[in-house]
Amino acid sequence: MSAIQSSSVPPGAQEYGGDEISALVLDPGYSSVRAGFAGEDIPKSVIPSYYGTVDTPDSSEVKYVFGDNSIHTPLPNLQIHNPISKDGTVEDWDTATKLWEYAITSRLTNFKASNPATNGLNDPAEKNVEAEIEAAGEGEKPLEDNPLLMTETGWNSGKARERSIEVAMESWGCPAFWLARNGVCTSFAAGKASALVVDVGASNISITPVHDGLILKKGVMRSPLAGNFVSQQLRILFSTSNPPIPLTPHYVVTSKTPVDAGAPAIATYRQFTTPPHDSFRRLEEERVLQEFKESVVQVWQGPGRLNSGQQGTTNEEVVKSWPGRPFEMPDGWNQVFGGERFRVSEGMWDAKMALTDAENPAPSQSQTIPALIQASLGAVDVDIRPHLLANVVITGGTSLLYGFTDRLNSELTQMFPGPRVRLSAPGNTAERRFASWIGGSILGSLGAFHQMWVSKKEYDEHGAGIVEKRCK
Amino acid sequence: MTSADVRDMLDLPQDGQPRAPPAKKQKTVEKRPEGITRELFALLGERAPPVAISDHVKYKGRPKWTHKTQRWEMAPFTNPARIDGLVLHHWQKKIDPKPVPITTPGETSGSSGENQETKPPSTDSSYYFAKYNVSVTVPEYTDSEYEASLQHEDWTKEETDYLIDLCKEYGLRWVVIADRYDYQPPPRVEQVDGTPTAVATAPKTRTMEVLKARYYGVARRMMEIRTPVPSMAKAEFELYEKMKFDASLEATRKDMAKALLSRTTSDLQEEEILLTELRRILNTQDKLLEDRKELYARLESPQSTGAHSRMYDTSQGLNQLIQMLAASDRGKKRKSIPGLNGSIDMGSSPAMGSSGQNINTGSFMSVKDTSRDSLGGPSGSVKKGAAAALPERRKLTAQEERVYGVSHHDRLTSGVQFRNDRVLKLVQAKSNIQAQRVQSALAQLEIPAKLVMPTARVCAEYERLVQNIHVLLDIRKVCEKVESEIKVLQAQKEERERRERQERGEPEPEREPREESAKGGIEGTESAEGGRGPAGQVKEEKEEEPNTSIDGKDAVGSGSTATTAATAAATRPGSGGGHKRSASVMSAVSEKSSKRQKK
Repeated sequence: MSAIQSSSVPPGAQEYGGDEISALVLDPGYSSVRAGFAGEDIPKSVIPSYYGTVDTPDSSEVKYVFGDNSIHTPLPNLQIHNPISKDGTVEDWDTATKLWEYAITSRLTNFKASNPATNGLNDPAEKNVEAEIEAAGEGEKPLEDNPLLMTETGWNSGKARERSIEVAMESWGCPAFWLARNGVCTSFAAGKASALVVDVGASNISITPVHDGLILKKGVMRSPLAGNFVSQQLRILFSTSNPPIPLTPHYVVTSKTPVDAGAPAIATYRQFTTPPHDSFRRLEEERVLQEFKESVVQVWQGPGRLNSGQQGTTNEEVVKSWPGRPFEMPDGWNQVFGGERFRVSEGMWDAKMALTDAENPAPSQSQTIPALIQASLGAVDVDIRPHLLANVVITGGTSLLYGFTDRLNSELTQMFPGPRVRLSAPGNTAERRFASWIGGSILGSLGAFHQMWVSKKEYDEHGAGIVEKRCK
Repeated sequence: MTSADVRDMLDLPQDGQPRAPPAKKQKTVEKRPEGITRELFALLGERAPPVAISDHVKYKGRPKWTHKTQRWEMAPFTNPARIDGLVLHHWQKKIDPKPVPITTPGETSGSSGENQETKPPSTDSSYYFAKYNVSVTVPEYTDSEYEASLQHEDWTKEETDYLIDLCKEYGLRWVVIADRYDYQPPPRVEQVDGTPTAVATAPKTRTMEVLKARYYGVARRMMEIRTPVPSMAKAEFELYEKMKFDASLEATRKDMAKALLSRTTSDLQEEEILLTELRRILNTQDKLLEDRKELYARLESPQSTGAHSRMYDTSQGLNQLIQMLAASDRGKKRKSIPGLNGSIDMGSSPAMGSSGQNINTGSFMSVKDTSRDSLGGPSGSVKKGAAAALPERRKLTAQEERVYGVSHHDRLTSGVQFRNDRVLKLVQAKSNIQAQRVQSALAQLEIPAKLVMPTARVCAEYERLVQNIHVLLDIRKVCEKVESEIKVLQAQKEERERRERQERGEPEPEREPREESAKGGIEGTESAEGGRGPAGQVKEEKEEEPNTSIDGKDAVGSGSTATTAATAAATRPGSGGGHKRSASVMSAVSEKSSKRQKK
């Protein structure tokens, strides 16, 4: 009887050490912002980091659009931006604040419902009710009841950290705040206090050694050869192939007819009187490329590299003989992709194999994943290296590329034949993509963590600098 | 059981009778229940539906909750581990307001409700997780203490303070401390062109070993100052001892760890191979020692007296047993047991059991092979074969051969023999009386019947000794015979002379000279008659090497038997010795006399 957890009986504090205080966890990234309540297993609110602005000619005010539903609508003059810079830190704080606020308030909290007797709704409808509600909500802040746990990259600057506590305390009125490194959170999500976190996101690959819940700053390594790099490789592949592969986003196609593989598309295209901005088209192209990455692109899983191999044949020739994978563009153009689907991801491992064009020079070998891991391990104490290698945690959306973990395993065992290499990569895609949020959710719901929050009182006393002192 | 019974069981008609047609089914017309149409009822057929159709359905009744529903509330709480009194809220069971005590008429009932409204957050230190707020203790020192005893040429007080703070902050996690250590020394004020200018000093890069050495140095020094070493408690002293830190040793260890980590695949493979080899050697060594122990145990075990194994006591018996076992082995057509096919069985002791001995024989061979010189057994032949196969093998010098116990044989008998067996056989070979005599002779020489240390040389000597004893015994026998003959002949002669004298009527002459000549004469005839007997041989030897050699063992050559015998006789005290000597002396005398006679 006691084995079945009843919903009316809370788990014993000794059993899981949790104590939920309805804290919020916010995990911003380059491609998406994850937000939710601490103690839940998946973020309730996942919105893209991209946002749109629509210039209205008649007023000077700029209209912002957030969220998946709005930014993919081809509004006239719609421009797409991203408040996060290419290195994963916040660039545009004002919009980032708005974006995060949207992520939190659209799904999670809202302004407190005031007493129905006084909120005016039940009064005889004489006055302008709407105006009154607005006035009532004026002085309120969205997160007055919820402590906020935010994640940041391992290389976040001190100024950015201070800015984030200012946003939380001043703009949102949080009673308590904490800034956690996303590497630490990821290792917590994998149930480890010490781990080597390999985060392959959209804009950055980052390697973070974590020891006892603290990152080792000297060992944090990063490079831009992540999801966006693979997209860029795809663009180069499409433009250099003969004939060039057309990349048409969904929104311009109104109808299409089936064509043979490789044949030009027969489709009717949408005409715009005032088309959206080019940045919108680029975003939509990225969506098509993401679909392509999810369904076609593969990583050569090893052993060896794509251009190495046994008995005179390279692995590249081997994969060319494998059956290809078909892909159909939104306009109906379709093709079966053979060996080139391995080629586009090889640049992450072997800089020499990266596709290049005029604007995109080849990356350096030190930016590849194996080199990063080697550099990261070289920067930490030798005693913990074997332990870190036995606890490699993989996270990030791009790590879901087919064959990625196999390849990483083969590269690591080749690089370190002595110590035992063990990867921890959750098979569940949500867990892989949201690992840092999940770790934050675990951390924020722990009873023992509540002594660590930076409270509003402390912030008022010490100012924004307290975040540097407390959140190590 | 008859066929009728079977038929009965299978429900078949008895012999010859045709099967009775099955009884016709009675068509029963069931009454159609109310509420079912005729068509539907017809579809049901004769079989009743599997589920009973009933019109009163019973649902599960509403559960009866005896207890009141638990009320939960979003209650505020403070954490005593915090100093700022942050109030957080969590869901907890609502504690029912205490039953209102019997109120005095003066009190208003509203007061209790008011109290509940303004109830402050539970500030008691009952928050479960507050106990996890732990921190490490780091050494503390005052400025004067630092000045007095913690000076270090490489460290300023500020930097030491910074290090101690870092240690406290990161709970002595050295990996993190070394990672985050970033001490910015305060700018020095220097006089540049007469004006004081702040010059930033470059921060030192400090390794983890240096940091540890400094920290533990400070900690040890402070422990010493707080409590002198002799008056430390045991735990304290242990901690004090533990804090001895050797930075260079640690650095060396880390270098080695680094080297260990950066091994290549080939290094690893080599190491693996070496480890396997080592493991194999250790395993076989254990087995070897075990086998040797077992062999010794068998050799030392008392002679079995059971009639069952007595027949295998001798080497012939053992050979027979081996042949038997080999034959049975062949008969079984199973994988032959090593050691049996070559009819090699060194390990079979008289006490061996019928089972289990086969497995050990091979290993006995391997053990004994090296330490034991061959006794005409197959181990010798194996060696010879090996030597033939490897002609370039080093030739051993004579001394080395002796040391290693190598011996060469023209011909080798098959089978294995124990030296003790051979020695015993030497003694027992002749008739019972003879054997007793030999044994008594050995007893006189104080040589045990069973040799204590039967090495090859001892055995050889022993064999020679026993042969000599045999020879001597033969001589003694002949001698006794001759003596008795002499007596008889003398008696006859005396008788005859007496008769002649009586015939001549002469008186009794002097006895001595005549007797000697007579003796010689008799001896001469004897030797002439028996040809060259053993006595003669002895004599020849005597003339070549006249009665000098005392150490019989040093005597060499084919004719050494006599010498040995003589020596044995010479060294032996007692009547036997006298007897022997008399024999040889007598023969020598007789020889002389015979020569004299010839002349």
